[in-house]
Amino acid sequence: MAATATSLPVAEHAHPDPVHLKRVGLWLFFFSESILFGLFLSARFYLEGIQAEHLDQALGLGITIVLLLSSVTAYTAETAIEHDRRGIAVWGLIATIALGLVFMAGVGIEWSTAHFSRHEAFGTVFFSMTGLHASHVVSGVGLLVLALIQLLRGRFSSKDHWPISGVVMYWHFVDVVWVFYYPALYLIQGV
Amino acid sequence: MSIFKVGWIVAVGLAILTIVEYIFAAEVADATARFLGLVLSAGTKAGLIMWFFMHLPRVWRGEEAH
Repeated sequence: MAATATSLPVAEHAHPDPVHLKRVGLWLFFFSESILFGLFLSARFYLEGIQAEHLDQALGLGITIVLLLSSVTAYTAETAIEHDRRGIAVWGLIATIALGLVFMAGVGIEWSTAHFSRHEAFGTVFFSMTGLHASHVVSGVGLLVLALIQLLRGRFSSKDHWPISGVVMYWHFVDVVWVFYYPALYLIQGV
Repeated sequence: MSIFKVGWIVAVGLAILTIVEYIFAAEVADATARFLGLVLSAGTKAGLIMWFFMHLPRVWRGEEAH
């Protein structure tokens, strides 16, 4: 009985912040996703070394800047809702969604103008890597749209904004992946 | 707009690193040096995004600010 009585205070403190738990869980998800993206990156160097086919460098640099800019607007949206600046948060999310769509259009142009085939080694890694990444951009845009709809309906405040933070973190993760994929595909052989 | 100040400073840093990365790839002929430079640049950019935009320090802080 004495042991039970002494363990009670410990149990009272055994409730961590739920938002913190969600954050840690999301980082664990990012870790597992990093392994998947890393395997594709490894396959790229295993199959082709630093060799690469001709790619549109201006387009590659352009969509990279667009995606980095979208991370800034996503950060702006999250920071705004943390300070109850709802209007800025709405426009931040709209800008992020728009930039995500521009990025997708850029990838679409690159795919449609590529002069190599998916049956070649470089084609396989290029379409696999950009395709896997693009699927995450599409899901990220979808999640941002859902967050925007909820925000426009009056949800979220400085006290309760985890869904926006989570979606924005996911968007930043997609950006981090491209930070490594861009030089591996476009720059590694030289411009 | 002081609440967005960190975001804009990081944005400038990312822009500079991206331009440097592109020029580096264009100008450096040695493949090993180019590879190492690009890895360093990408790692720095990823670190900036994870630390400031993804709030990595909050993972071990325990309690959320809100």
